[in-house]
Amino acid sequence: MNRMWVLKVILLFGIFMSLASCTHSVHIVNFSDFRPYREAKTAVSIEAKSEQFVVLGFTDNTSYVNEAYQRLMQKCIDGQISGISTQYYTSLGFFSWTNHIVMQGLCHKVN
Amino acid sequence: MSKIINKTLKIIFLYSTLMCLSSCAYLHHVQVGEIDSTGDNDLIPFEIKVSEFGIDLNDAKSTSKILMNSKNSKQADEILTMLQYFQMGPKTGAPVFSVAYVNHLENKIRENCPSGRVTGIMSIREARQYPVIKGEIVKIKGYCLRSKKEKI
Repeated sequence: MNRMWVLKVILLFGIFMSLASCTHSVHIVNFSDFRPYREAKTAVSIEAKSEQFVVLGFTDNTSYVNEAYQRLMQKCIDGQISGISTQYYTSLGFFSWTNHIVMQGLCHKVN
Repeated sequence: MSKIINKTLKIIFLYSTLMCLSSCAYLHHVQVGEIDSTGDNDLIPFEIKVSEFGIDLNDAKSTSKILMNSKNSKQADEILTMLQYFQMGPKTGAPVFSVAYVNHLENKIRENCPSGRVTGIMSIREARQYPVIKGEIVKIKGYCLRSKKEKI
């Protein structure tokens, strides 16, 4: 009986911890155009990320979207970026959360 | 006897709810890019659909009220409320355990259209609503331009 009770507690704790573990909410996944038309195999995948940590609605970083944008541009100097996907999602947490911006695209080097 | 009738009624109710809700879809966001139908081209449609399952704790609460007796459902309600403290923040649909499913979708488009001549991209963020479990979906629709001469 006692052993069963311990097993039950372990099982419940396991379920609780797995459900309480980091969960995310995907808000938006947008795509830009694929102009100018270039053969896909000549392109290189690039990625830029940025995040904003929020505690109960309060934060000090309000330029995280611009940071990701600048980083993406830096990843393809002297090239053209097309097919940019912008993902905006939130990692949920205990009385706090983190907003993420991920920009991924294809970099075509001109020369 | 009344217990059996109650249980049967509960099962019938749950089954009918499940059947009613199983086909529900919910649109969160949609965006369309430029559409190029100039030139001597065929538009070959393609669609990419990625999804991840999410768990709605509010749904779990209401389901526990139906399935459990009042004492157990109260305990389940307290546990689920505690879980919700660990899932604070802005939400679109139900929370998911991984966001890897939306990673590098441009590569999937590239696989569908190796020529790179992609137009009319439409990104859809939607959800399939099932009891407690939700399907969080991202769908990309578009056209791959193919020259009519290429076909010949």
